[in-house]
Amino acid sequence: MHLALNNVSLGYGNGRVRVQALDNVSMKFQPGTLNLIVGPSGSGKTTLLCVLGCILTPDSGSVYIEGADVSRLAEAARADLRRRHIGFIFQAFRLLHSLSALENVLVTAAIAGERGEESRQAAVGLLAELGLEDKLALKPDALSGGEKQRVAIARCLLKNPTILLADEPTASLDTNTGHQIAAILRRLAEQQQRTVVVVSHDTRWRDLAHRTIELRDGQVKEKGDCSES
Amino acid sequence: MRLACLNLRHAAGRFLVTAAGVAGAVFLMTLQGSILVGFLRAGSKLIDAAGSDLWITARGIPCFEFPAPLESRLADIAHSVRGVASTARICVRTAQFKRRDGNQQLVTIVGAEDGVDKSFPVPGAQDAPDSTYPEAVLIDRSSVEALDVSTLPADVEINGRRARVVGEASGFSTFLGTPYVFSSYRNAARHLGLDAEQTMYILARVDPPADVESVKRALQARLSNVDVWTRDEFARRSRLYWLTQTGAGGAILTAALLAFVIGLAIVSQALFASTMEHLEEFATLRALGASKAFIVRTILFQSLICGVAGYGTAVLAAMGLLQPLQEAIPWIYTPWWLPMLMFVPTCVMCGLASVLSVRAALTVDPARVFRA
Repeated sequence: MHLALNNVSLGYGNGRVRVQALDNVSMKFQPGTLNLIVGPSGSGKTTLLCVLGCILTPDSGSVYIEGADVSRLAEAARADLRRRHIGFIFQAFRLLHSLSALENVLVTAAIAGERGEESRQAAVGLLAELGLEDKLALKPDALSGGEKQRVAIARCLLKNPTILLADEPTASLDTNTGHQIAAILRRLAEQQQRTVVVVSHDTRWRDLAHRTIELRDGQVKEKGDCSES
Repeated sequence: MRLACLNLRHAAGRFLVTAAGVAGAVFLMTLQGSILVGFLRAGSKLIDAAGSDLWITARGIPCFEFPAPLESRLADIAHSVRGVASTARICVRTAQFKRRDGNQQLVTIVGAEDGVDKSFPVPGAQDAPDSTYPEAVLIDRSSVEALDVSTLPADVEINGRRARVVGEASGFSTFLGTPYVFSSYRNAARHLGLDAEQTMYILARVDPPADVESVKRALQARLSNVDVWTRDEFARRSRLYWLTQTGAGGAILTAALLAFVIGLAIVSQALFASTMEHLEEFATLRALGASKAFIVRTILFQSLICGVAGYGTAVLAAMGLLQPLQEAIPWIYTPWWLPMLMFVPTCVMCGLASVLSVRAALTVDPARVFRA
């Protein structure tokens, strides 16, 4: 699924305290690619991810998913879009503490109104694929950082989204576990033709990404190999 | 709604406190409801028991306990009206009851002629051996202690005249603090010093083929300066008087409302604390695409689980505690439907308690999940 931004601008605050987080940003992401967004703190990386994920609405410009402009959709329609097409991976994992690993994965099915055995089997399969077959019943508190992030990846994959948006997915992990998570995301992009966008300070990602985009002060400063604008 | 259940299980202590708060509120509302229903029932108990179709009273009488004199001859005039099968007189007034220990107790004497319903307590209608004794009176079972009548028959004095308590009636306790003493009309009139030309209420029984409303209109046309009520009208008027004019109804309803508000505050506070504790999780759910309806359902369900648990506890407590309470305050009455009815305010309470939490969860910015 193609994902694109066209002249997107977004600011926070008013008057003299207004901060321009994104300033006339345009870019396209192709399926089957792992895209890395880098830049210093405050450069607009996370805001860009929120706009791509239909969580924030740009002040101006357009966001295209599969050619359709989704930037002016109502909140309910954007939530539906996120539910069906976009998977999120967060730095802090964002697992629900009262739920087991399996139940955390099944949350995405629950919010889509699906409660069948099919979803359960798919969730078990995903967790097994990520090496967590013996951790299904464990609560997040009983899992290591790498295991939590793998549960979060399984959660975002359950609804088979074509777009994966990851915010510093390895920042809370040790080097070895970080490598494993990065390899998983690259495999998801290449083998399953998903569009993966990763925001990270971690320089190791540069070697794994098909393309690197650098943001500074809300503007695109540099694009890697397959850049288009 | 597994998430709602698990959130509650995750904070079991808070859940128990919330359920206990709901239980306390529902129990208090049930208690106030029982007092209200019992109060209303007691307010018209004797009117309901009299069974006659129509009541003829002096103008503007608000309730059974506060009558005004009527001319006795009106009973004969009423009897002559087409459709009236029979008439009977009742007199009511407070009197001094001298207990066997010499202490005085204010009582309400009720004297009724033959012809009122069999369920109306009148000596002679009872099976007690002394019930035909000329000065026989009955007292309610709940007044035995107040009137110091531990053995029957008991000779006592009412307004300085001899009387003999020959039996007990049941279900006619008073909320006024002046126990009822039931007597024949003639005996009561003597105790009360009532003029033979006067009475207080005239009850008319309508011939079965006649229409009560038509007979009422005919009586009203024939008798001047009196009110004619159907039994239900007079009962309603009496209940309304006690409810609205004495302040008792307002006090009971205020107490019930207070219980509701306390319950609401407890559930609101606990639910809000739980929601704020899980706010990051609600933000995550929203980021993942959860609809507003999903969030609302989750919080509402959480609230309702607390409500149902509290309601169940309150009903069990009411079953256990209201019975002994009724022995102490006999006119309190808990109809079978009252505990069931309490489920409605419980649900309303939980629904209202969810409002703040729902608002907090719906207004949380899903973008906050990107913060580390």
